[in-house]
Amino acid sequence: MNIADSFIAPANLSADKLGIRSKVVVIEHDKDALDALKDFTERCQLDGYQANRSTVLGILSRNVDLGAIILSSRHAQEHDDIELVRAIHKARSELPIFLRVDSQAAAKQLPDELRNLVAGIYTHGDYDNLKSLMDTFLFNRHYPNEFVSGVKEFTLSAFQAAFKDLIIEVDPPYIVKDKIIYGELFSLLPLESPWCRGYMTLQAEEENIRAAIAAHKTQLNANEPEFRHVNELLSELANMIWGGFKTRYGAASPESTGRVRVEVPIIINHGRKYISFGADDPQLCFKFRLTDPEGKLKPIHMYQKFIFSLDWSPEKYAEANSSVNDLVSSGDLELF
Amino acid sequence: MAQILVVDDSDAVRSQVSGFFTSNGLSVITAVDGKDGLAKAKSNPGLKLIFADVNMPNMDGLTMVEKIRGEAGNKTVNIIMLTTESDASMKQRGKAAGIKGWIVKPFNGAGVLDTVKKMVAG
Repeated sequence: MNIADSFIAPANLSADKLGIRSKVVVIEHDKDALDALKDFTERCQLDGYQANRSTVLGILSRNVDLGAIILSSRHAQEHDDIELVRAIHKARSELPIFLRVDSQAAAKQLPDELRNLVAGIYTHGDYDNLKSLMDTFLFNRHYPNEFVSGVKEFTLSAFQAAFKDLIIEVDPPYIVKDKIIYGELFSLLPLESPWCRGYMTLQAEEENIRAAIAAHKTQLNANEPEFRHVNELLSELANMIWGGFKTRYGAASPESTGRVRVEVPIIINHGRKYISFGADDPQLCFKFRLTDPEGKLKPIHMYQKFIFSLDWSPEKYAEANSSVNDLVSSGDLELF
Repeated sequence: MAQILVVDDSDAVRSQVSGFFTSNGLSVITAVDGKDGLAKAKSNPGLKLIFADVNMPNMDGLTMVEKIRGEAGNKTVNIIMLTTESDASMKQRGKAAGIKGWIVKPFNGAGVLDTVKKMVAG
């Protein structure tokens, strides 16, 4: 990440830690309010990254996987506030902006345009309100812990099968609201079970994966790999994860879902590295990091995103999960 | 003469599976999809074992198995599916077509080597 001035260390990388987090950019000029936000972000599973008014747009353009923006108003320069919020909104309209004002009275005097562009308004000292805003706009989708740990498990297994002699780590899962694509290439795969329906993406940079293939750190046998080999690797990785998903959560059928299928167009803007699945629901995200224990290769970063934009009924999760009680261990030969 | 045919549209899987068996002294040929697999099964009647994926372009693995048994008339070659699929109805279709086993990816060569050697020797 290129975010400057992280004021809260990202959560430790223990693979056992399941608390879902999110990254928020903080633009706060008041020291007391900033200190209060540090406590707030710690309490609310947020990784806060400090920016200022002159750097925030650069930070937004360079970073993926953000959840929200917390901004303080400078009432004396109201015009500046509107300009900044307008610019942030234009750059990343999918990110909710939470604006701190000095008082409720000041909140009432905010211009309509500013009020319409922000997701919510709070005051210093009223962090229950900010928490409530976060829950409404950022953590408004509950991903069951068992589901999150299951996804991590079969994805790690797929990484271990696709790569050799690399250290594979995964950050704690997190929620994102942005729609920015990381790296040069990504695979996109429809996912469907009796209780959810959407997509998975794996997003990556080409060069470091190609170097890993050339160094024989994958199952591919290519001494001079090109981009097609990287595509091939990403495709097989996605395929194995898809298999893990179906094995664990069951495949959907018209009988099991009893619902009318809906489809929503996916919008991809190549120029802006932007993809929209037609919904603004928080997306579950994992970041995997593969490092060479000998330090000869640059690390590979891979982002896995789940976008259940077509159906999400976690109340049916337990039922579907308990019915999948005869899982076959991957790699075992089942003889007939 | 080839003993094993590996049919998978993934270059990574073909490399991994064929590399593993070749390094264990077995003779392996590969095919990139079901159509290619069917053609190679027909032109290599001495094959002892076929590893096949299910989801492949042009012709899926289960259709290929049915054609090897039916159209090609090869009732004896051992066939094991190596796939991300674990759906019971697919396994049932495979059983009906005469497959000998099912492996859910990822491939674990060491775990199947003894069985494979017996099938190839038999």
